[in-house]
Amino acid sequence: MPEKVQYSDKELILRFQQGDELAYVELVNRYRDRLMNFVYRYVGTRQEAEDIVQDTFVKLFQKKDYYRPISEFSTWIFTIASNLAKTELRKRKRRKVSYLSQLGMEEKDFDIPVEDTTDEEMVGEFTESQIQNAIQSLQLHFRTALILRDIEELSYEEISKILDVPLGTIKSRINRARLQLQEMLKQVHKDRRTTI
Amino acid sequence: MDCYEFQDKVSVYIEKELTLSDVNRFDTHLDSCKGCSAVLAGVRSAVAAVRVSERFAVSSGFNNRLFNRLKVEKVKPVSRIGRMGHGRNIFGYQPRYAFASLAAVALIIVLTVGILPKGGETMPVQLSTQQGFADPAPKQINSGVPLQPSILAEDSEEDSLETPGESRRVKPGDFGGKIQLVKDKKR
Repeated sequence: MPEKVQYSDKELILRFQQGDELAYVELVNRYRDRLMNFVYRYVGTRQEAEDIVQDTFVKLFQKKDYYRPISEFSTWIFTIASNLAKTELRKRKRRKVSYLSQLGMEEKDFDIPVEDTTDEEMVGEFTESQIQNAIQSLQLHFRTALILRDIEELSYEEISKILDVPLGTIKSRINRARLQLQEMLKQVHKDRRTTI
Repeated sequence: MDCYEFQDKVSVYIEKELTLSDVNRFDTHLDSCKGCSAVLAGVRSAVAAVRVSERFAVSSGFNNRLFNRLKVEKVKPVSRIGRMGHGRNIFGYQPRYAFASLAAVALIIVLTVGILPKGGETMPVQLSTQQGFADPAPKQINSGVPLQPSILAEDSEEDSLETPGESRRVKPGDFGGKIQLVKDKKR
């Protein structure tokens, strides 16, 4: 029985640069769910997240020659996805502003749609949507750093490279994001107790 | 250690990246501060909740959709200008910008040559934008004061719709009378 060779990410991207498209497929299989998880936490909707992940892989296909083996492949692909997600959020913000400007003052609705939480699986003492809403409420730069650290479990150094921000700033952002998150979840906990 | 310093370093404490002396200071503060103990417990719980939260995956058929899109992207024609000299510079410009700049300069030269009069010839006076709007009847200005017939006559003559062949040409002798007047004044 032939032994299955397990290539590293770097080996795969180098093979893909030399024209091996199977290496590209393998990279897609390795990273699609990790990127989906990251981007979904970032933008908050599944469809948009999936479109962004697809765009990321299209970019990878088109710009494969831009990758240099001095950095980790994961850092590079997360940088692409992060930039695309950021652009999408900027577009969304612009769309929202123009939509609000088209409405009359009394028609403006600033409520964030709340997903149906019935029969939802509990994650520890919180529901999945409570965690997602808390993450979504964080400021963008805190949110990104927190997702990359606590969900994607990347190192501080990798996050610093992906976001192109000094290491000390990343540590500080993650700390502040966690403090804000615990405040929000504490509030959720308190609200639940009062309703019971 | 005070509460501010504690909160500043709470993540580093959780991740066990503090020096031993700092850990001791932390522990001492924790023993005496209930608020910071609650914050530490809250942060630990939040991080744990996020870490064990659901992992989202792409929907089924993702690869097929991606590869179909790549097929389309591959078939798309790429402009020659976009492709030429990929990563190279022409006089410090990217090829596509160099090409655009060159086209702009050529256009300016062509327009300039087209506008300048040829040697020895005079330019026909022509107001092409006014074609089809000649109104022989005297017009009323907004103030309600009718225009003087002489002015009207002069205007209508200058603004007349002549084809390029019929246009009035300025001849060297046309300003003779005016020059004479100046001379007369000098005298």
